[in-house]
Amino acid sequence: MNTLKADPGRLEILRSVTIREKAMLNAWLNKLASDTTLSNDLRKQILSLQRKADSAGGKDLAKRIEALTENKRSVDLRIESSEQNREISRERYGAALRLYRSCEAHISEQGAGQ
Amino acid sequence: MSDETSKIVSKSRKGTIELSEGLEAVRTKISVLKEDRRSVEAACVSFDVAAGRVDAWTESLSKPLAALARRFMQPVCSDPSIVDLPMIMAAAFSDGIRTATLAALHEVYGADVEGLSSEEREAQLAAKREELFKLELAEEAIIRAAEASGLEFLRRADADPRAVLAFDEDLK
Repeated sequence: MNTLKADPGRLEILRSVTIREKAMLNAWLNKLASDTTLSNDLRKQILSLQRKADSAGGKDLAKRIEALTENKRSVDLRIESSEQNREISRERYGAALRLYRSCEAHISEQGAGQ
Repeated sequence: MSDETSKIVSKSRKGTIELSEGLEAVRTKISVLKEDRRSVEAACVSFDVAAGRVDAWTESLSKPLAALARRFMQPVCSDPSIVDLPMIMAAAFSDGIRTATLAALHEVYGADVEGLSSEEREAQLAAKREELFKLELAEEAIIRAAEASGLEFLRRADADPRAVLAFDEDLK
């Protein structure tokens, strides 16, 4: 049983799993990047409105600041959750890649042994 | 949702849970078995092997005495350095060191240590390797069954390539 022949077709499946995990990781990285940009933009908008409100005052500005702050809070929460998902995804991709490489090495060893 | 549809949904959920639990159970067994294997690898050698090591070591301790004696045989002789004194003392008392170390060894083995001969260790490791490989095949079989039903379970990074690359027929 310990001398089973390797099915080279399985390596292709592992490769596609690795590609899928990498795509997932990239998706989280992209989402994180766009949310971080959005959060920074919102921060700038809030600061700019706060400066205006400090000099001119007004209920409208205060309401807009409040809405933007709420929006930023939800974006920041999303970033936090995306960061966790990015880490999970990074580990999954790392695991898939390590397994793919060890299987690739196993197949080439088997090939060399024949 | 009709009763029949509910039953199908419930059955599907049950199937998914069963696959997931089955995989988890096999992975736990793998993890326990690997720990067992490490224990066997790290288990003490038998008393005879340990005593043999003590004999070899104390014999090597006594070797510098001949070189020391030759030093005094030369026409022109300088005294040994004080730095060499611990080595010379160890050589002079090597029999005592051997007796004391063997007595300590007897005491430790007699108390709670059961050593393994190399044959026993190899036999136990071979059995664990075989069992581990069967579990790895079972794990791969579960993952492929899940994949066939459209579910994705990530394989372990340290899964055995022989199991992961096995032909479907070898997993049945």
